[in-house]
Amino acid sequence: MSNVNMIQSLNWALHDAMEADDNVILFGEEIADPEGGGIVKISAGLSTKFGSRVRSTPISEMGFMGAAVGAAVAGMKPVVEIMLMNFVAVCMDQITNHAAKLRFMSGGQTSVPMVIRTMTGSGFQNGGQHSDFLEAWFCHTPGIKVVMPSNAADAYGLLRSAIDDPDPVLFVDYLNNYWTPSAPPTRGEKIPLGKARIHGAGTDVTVIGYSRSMLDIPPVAEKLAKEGISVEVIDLRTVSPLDMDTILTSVKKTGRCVVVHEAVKSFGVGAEVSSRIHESLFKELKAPVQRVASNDSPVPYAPPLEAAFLYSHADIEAAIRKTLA
Amino acid sequence: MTRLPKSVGNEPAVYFLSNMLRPNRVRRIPHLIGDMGEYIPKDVYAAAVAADPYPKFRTKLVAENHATAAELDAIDAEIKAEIDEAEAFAMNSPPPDAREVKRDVYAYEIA
Repeated sequence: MSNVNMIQSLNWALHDAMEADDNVILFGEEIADPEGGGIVKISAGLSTKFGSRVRSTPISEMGFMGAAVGAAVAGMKPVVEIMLMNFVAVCMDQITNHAAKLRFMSGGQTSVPMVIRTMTGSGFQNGGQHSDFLEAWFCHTPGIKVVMPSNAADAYGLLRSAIDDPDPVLFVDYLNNYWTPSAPPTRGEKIPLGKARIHGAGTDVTVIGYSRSMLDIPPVAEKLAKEGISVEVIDLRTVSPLDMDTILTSVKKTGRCVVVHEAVKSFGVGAEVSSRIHESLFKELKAPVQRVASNDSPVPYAPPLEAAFLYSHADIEAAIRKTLA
Repeated sequence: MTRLPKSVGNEPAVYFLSNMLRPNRVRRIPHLIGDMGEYIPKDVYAAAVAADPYPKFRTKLVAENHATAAELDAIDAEIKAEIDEAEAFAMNSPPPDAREVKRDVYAYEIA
């Protein structure tokens, strides 16, 4: 079968989950077919097939996120699309104070089995309020899981597992993956949450990425391989909870590590990964763990600034060389 | 607020406007630029146009002698000229230098 993009694989995942379980329902802006089947058509065809289980909502994230939390508490499995990740800010209370905490605050008597799907990424001149990777906000919130696939096959298998999960899951897509074909998923095959994937085995340095950075790390690894530098690339896939077994096994072997993400550098996922590696492997490390991330500013609109905001392949290469120096 | 008619009865302008301009209407543009809004039902759109408070307010201001049509046209022209000038300035300016990505995150440089 030929390669597919993430729009196709996510559409399949939603379709197959809705077919498998009548409790799976979709909320989001413009997601029903009369409104276009979603801003990038991820839910195309689903309202035609599944009717009112696919609900186009008003532009009122606080309202429909709250409705989804209520539906989940009542036993449904809502999948909510937040059109762009920055818009989670207007429904943070429903996500972090309700969805993420109700199990704990009710002594385990309440489940909130919902998925919040959203998309983001710089490079599209969408400006500061439409481009951020905000995963660290949610990784810092106990009670919600954070899944960030890098390719079409992982997106399918992880979304199926996220919908099955008894707890709330934030599922973040990188916009460019919608138009970047990769190997197709096997319909029906679920990928467990919390399990990273070794993208390419190596022995000299471990480079950890997820989502967008998994488009940038492999080309750098291939370039360095020609010099005899062997890079082991890990795709986290689930950012919270972290698959520390896979990370520590790899870094114990290589003794060196670089973490790469598009989100801004300070207080980010890279800091958490780096800290945990230092806590566990301080004596085995041959160099301090390096972080490659974006500039600590809002995402700029002007193209030269947007380019300067994001890390470059040269930054990844330099960080790898620094661990080898 | 300097462009508001100076006299709006005996009420302060802000109080007057808070009673006159309620943000309670259907927006006439689609959800986003580039979206043609085909999904907006034609009758809903026609009703939104008919209910547009801006031309109603303009008619009211003239009918109640708060301003003449010529004065309101002059305000419109002044605003349009200001926007046109700002657009021309933006379009004719060189792209910003990449170093500006570090500027204006805070009032003072911190590192």
